[in-house]
Amino acid sequence: MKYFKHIIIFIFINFLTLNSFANEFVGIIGAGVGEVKNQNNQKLQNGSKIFYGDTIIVGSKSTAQVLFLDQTVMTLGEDSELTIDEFVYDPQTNDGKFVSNIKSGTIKIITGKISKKDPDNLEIKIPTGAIGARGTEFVVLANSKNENTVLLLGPGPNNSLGMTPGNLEVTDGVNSVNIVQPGFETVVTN
Amino acid sequence: MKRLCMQLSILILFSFNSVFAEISYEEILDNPTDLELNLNYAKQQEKAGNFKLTIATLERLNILYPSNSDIKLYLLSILIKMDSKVKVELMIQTMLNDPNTTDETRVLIAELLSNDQIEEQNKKWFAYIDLTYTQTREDNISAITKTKKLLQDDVSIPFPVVDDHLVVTNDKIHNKGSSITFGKNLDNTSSIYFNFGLDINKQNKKATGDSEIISGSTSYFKALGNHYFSPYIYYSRPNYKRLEDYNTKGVGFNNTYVVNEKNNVNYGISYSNTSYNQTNTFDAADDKNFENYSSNIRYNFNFSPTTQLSSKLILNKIDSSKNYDSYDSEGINFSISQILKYGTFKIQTTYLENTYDAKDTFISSTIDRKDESLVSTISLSGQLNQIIPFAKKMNEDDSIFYSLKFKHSDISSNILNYDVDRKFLSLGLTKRINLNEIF
Repeated sequence: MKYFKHIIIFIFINFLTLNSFANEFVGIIGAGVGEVKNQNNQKLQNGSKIFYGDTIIVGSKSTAQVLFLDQTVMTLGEDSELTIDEFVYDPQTNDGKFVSNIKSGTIKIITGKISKKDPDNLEIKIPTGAIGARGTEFVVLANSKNENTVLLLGPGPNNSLGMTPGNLEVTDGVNSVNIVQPGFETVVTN
Repeated sequence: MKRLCMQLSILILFSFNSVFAEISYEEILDNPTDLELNLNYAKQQEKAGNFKLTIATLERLNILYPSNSDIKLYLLSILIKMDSKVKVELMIQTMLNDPNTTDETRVLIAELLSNDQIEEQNKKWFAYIDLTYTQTREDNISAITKTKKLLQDDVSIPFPVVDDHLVVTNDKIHNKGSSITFGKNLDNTSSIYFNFGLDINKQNKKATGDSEIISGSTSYFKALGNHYFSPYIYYSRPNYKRLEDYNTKGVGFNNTYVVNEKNNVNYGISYSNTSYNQTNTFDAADDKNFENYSSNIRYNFNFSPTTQLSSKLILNKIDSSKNYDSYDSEGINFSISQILKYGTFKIQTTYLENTYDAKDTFISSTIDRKDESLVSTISLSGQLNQIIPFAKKMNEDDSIFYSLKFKHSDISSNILNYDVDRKFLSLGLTKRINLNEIF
């Protein structure tokens, strides 16, 4: 009976924790034009909150920019779909973990503080692999489940802004490539 | 560049009130669409060196306020420092394709880019070859007078009888032309072009008039704000079958001042000198030598993005070796062009009055020659696949152009010999071969 009581308390605490994570907002829709909605078919507008586990779906002739708490910014082009698989962030220390999953479409990412503190803690999953990024801006074109393109936008090594030159590590699960030159891209296939 | 600085300064001043109040990221999360707050935030982040946030903020404002050119220019000014040609090109492409982008903004983009590495790319040479075939059907190639009479020593005589090769009415002219053009952008506001061409004209019936013409020209283009300057020089040397040959050297300029999106003024002055080759066969050829002083001013009104109305005033002075061939010419031209699904449709008409300096006593000792000409043209030109959809297969790179033209020239003169009516119908095809890869 004593063990049973402990199990009940453990489950209850875990439920509270999970529930609080589920209600924790991780970012907002900074700009939404056209048809932007979440996994529950709820329309997302400018300023709408994005929660842990949410999927953002952008329709045709539509676009949306999502601002995350760690200052990561994702801009979703038309017919795009993105899920926030994991987001933990401590604004005091900039420690955290951010895992997002690009299902389809064209999505531009500007990395934020989680990646700045530890690039390994930002992971972008794409249908054919995954991307790790350091101090950079890049685009993912996920137009099919079998072939995705990742393009590094910058900054370049000769930027006059003092920015950390962009560096992408793209993997298909077996092999990986690094992109350091803006304008260079890699195609990841199954 | 001054105007750009001023525009950016206004943008900065616009947000000056709250520049000193530090704006937090949390405030932006609460107010992501507030133009003034977000502009101030972008500025603060730029000052603090957080360019990724500046870029993200300006991109957001660009989505929310797509017709605001100031935001685009501000964003572009940051991007070109980012050492990412692909990002800058994407932005420029977006801006140039945006119908909200004004001519003024386009000039400001060019000024911004003048400091960019893209300038180096633009400095490359470019070149192309045009191969042209034109067939023209003319109904009065021998310029038979309206009255079918000629004046000679004050006496009216019949025009020579029409035959198969000397005096011809209907004829076809086949023109085969080729030209090569080289160009180079010297910087983002100036460029230089060189063109060399060869034209071969052959007539079906008329014995005289077949020709081979070689020509060359050099022109320079410079944009200073809204004012575009284009001086040029040219040379041409026709080689006529059974007629005197000559060469022409010319110099001039053709400038345009863009008043605003709808109005622009084009003006030009040119001078040319034509020298005939005196030979044993043509021992008086140099009597035809002449100098041409020409000027015009044209006003263009863009009625809509697809319709343009133009009017032009023309002043010419022809100074010939023989006074009776010298004349002053004044006239006016009107045109309307409309971009259609099938190409650009244009109607234009030119009226000219030519007043000659002296009597040609071999023709008339009493009449001071005065001509009035009215030339009207209707044309349609564009990509071949615009009128023949299945031509797309052989014109995948949109490098084959067509032109259809009907011209009516009606010259009324107080001397019978020049009172002539002519009609022309022509069809032309041009294939452009891009040589940029070679350079």
